[in-house]
Amino acid sequence: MVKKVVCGKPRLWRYRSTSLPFCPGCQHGVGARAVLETVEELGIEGKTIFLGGGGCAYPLPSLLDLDAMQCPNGRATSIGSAMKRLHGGETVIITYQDDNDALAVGTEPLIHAALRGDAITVILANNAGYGSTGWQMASPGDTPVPPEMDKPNPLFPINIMELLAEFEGVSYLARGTVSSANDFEETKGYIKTAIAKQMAGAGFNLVEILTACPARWHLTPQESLKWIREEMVAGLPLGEFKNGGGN
Amino acid sequence: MIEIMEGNHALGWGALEAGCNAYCSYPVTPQNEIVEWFAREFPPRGKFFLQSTSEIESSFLCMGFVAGGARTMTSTASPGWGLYPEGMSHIVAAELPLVVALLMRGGPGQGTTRQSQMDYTSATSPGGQGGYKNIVIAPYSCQECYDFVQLAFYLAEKYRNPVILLTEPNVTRVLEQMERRPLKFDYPPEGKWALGGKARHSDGKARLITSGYGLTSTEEHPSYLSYLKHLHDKFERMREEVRYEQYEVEDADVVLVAYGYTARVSREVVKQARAEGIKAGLIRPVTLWPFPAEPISKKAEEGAKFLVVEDNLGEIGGLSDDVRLAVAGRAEISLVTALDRHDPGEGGSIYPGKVLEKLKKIKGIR
Repeated sequence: MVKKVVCGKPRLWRYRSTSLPFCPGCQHGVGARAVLETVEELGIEGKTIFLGGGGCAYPLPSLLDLDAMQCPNGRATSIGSAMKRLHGGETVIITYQDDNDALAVGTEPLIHAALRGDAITVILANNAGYGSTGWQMASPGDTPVPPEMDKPNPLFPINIMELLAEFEGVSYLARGTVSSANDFEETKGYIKTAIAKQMAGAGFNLVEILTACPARWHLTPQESLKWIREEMVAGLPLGEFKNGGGN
Repeated sequence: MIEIMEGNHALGWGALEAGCNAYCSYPVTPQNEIVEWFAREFPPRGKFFLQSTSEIESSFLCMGFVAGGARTMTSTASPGWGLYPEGMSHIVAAELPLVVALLMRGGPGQGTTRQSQMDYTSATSPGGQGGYKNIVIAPYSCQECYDFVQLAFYLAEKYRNPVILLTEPNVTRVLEQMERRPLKFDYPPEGKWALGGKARHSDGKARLITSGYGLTSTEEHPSYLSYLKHLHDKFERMREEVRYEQYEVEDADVVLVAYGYTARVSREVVKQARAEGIKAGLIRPVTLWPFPAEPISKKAEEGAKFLVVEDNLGEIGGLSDDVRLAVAGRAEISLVTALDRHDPGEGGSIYPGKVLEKLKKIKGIR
């Protein structure tokens, strides 16, 4: 009889405790898992550098069996751009940043890394708000948002797909969720395409994952997934937004 | 071979001599000659030149290069320096080496585009979050720009900590004789910290770089307190790198204290004063942090008076603060400051005449 493992944690996780340091229902763990499984399946763990960001996902780099860095909030794309230039095409740079990192304090380095066509892969975990600092809402631009404790943020941060699509240096843009097994697999497919493009030197790419933050949203995990499906996707539609060569 | 060169270019050639491999900067006056030098000389040699989109990005591009193991340099001028502290604090916290050339221009704010010595405090008492120190070295000639940038790379790697070369256009824009001479330093062996993908490492083990040791426990630093103790001990060891120069100090009853261009002015003043029979001397701090308090304290003990010559508002701080600490109330301290410049416009500088005038006043000579 052939034994087949159908469930288990990625071998690149190296946390010792039984759980990740995230709130119940938080999807940073699932989002990161999609990245780790992809790295394992591509067999690139020896040449991958994982650059984490600020906020709730800050512990991630310290939990991985990968060369990794806990980058200051918003700065992972600058750090990744430099590392990619230094080590060249053989090295795979993956940043994992959330929206209060990459779409607020980190917009300048993100936009310019894309403009330069730096061949790095940004995983943007967008949970439309700030978790670790309390209840704050995502930066919505020029609309003031009063703090509302009992419901999710009705406004979303920058639609990064529309913003980056026109840059010549951008090779691939996609947005997915990890709310079901099917969604997880689809999002993993986006990540795999993005990393393959990076390895082919095709330019900057980004995969946005809409992730639940039940603690911040004051919803149950189930309600959170429903809210992503029904509300968040209406403002931030899913799919591939650019699939090109880059420069 | 003796050459005629300006200090801005000597900083570049010296960095090349030291094996610098990457340079990032954002253009800001008055240090654009350095940016241009690296833009011209680095890419043809297969080295990395990257112009950033802001000085904040400069600091983090540098952090990326050094975290990847590249010997890295950046340069900026005062208004740009205002954007660096965030990155500098993270680079210190993560224990990464970096060389920064900081050219001072008149401030505060947008100030002027011309020389000043108004960033002593922002360089020696860093403005970034948390408590940390950088070694700060002040060249005062083209030759020293070339030599000290080599020293800076060595010290940055010895301590895995940024080193700042603090200077001003009155030093770096002057064309003068220099020699491109390699200095020999006993660099530490390559550490096991740079990231490149774990397959690149001889032991094949994954590495982590972090500036958050209070949030992340590692084998090296299992607790925040053990990390703080480690930093504390390192900053204490860095104090051993103190360097200074004394000129005619032994029998002096008035000691001038100055660095950078005002130290060259002061040296001239000591010569002129000695010609008139005034026993003046000069203590020139070469490292501003660690500060050479000991020779100043010794002269204070002997009863000498002090004249601090610095092109800033000395009454509100700068070099004068460190001299006051070293003197500890034992001697009279007078100042020559930016208010004693020869010209009311932005091109004004401190000239020997004003310094000699003040020196004579201290001695009661009319």
